[in-house]
Amino acid sequence: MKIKAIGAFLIFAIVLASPFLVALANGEILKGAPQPKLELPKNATKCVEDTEYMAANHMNILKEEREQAVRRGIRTKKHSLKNCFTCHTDKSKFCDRCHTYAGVQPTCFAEVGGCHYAPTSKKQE
Amino acid sequence: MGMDRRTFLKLGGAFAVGSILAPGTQYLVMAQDENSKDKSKSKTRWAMAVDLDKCTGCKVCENVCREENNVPFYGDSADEKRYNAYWLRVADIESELPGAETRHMPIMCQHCDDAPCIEVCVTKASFKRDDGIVLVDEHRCIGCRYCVYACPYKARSIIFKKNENVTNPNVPAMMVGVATKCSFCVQRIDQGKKPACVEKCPHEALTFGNMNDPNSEVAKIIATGNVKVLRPEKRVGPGVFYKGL
Ligand code: HEC
Ligand code: HEC
Repeated sequence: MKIKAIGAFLIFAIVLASPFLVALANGEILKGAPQPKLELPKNATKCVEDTEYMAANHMNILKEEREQAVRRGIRTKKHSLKNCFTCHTDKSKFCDRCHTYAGVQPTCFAEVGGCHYAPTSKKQE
Repeated sequence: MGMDRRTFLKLGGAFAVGSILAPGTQYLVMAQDENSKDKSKSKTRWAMAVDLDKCTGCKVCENVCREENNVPFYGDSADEKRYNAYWLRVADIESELPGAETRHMPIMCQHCDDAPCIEVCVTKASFKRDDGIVLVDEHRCIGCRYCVYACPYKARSIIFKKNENVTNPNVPAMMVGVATKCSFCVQRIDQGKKPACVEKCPHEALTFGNMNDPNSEVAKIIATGNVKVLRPEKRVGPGVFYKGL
């Protein structure tokens, strides 16, 4: 009786863990989650700040720049949204790929309620 | 060695007086800071002078304003007209007196010193820059329309529909559902240029400059004393002055 119960539990556990085991066999787990493929700029090797800092904080940089420009008229070139697109020329292959991956929808460029243009967006054509 | 009773009381008294006065000096310093932020004392105050004798009502300013700032225009039919937004409109003033000619008057945001639109704004989206320009932060505006009713000059519009006809890609399109108004072409001012309407007026009826600089053209026109502001009884301190009103 006891052995039957243990056997049933083992089968149950294996079935439960099967996706994990399959992934382990494929080596997917060791590779980690799939990363978005970003098209990095060809005309530059460095971003306006450190790469890691940019990946984590570019939204804060852009928001701070927005606040300064709108409220105080302090417009810098370095952190402006327009400057981003001088290097990251194709928004759909850089910004959008990461944002889609992370499930972020910045309203700046949104089809509804968006006001800003990226060089590749339809609005400018 | 001990302190005698008299010295102790004196010191104590001095300490008490000092501790009462010290915060007072703090307030004095704060008051000075407040004064230094006083708009009337800030170095720049952008202002405009309109010469109504030179204005022919050609409406070039209205069109260049739309082109520069992507102000939406949907059409002239009755159905489309009510959606049109205006940053600058040219009013035609007809007189009932026989033989009197029709006058034309460009009316834009008057960039008031004490702007009622800023006072009523619930989200602080409307604000005034130190150089006297009143602006709407479209990121913050929730479209409650209080400012549209508060403005004595009807200078504000609401954006009802998306503007499909973007003419100047260097300026963001306007957000749907927010209040909007003349910004004195703030993006051009920050580059050291004049507003589009001033630059393109074919009759040189518009003058723009720093009112606080006595050598500027605007200050000289205002100093002649034959300019008027619109609706002076509202006491809002407009930054647009009309000659020949
Ligand atoms: C001078 C050209 C240049 C400008 C301007 C620029 N970038 Fe970059 N950016 C780069 C380069 C090159 C990289 C890749 C760096 C690396 O791989 O180490 C990068 C990387 C990034 C990353 C990290 C991507 C990752 O792999 O994690 C982000 C996010 C980013 N940029 C955002 C921005 C934003 C937002 C702006 C506008 C404020 C901007 N960049 C302006 C050149 C630029
Ligand atoms: C490395 C991935 C990555 C790249 C590349 C990237 N972003 Fe982002 N972005 C994010 C993430 C993640 C967030 C959300 C962060 C949060 O909400 O805390 C974000 C947020 C933003 C926001 C704020 C959105 C909001 O609603 O608050 C803006 C604006 C923005 N990104 C602009 C850009 C622009 C412009 C580019 C291209 C130049 C870009 N991003 C490239 C990952 C990226």
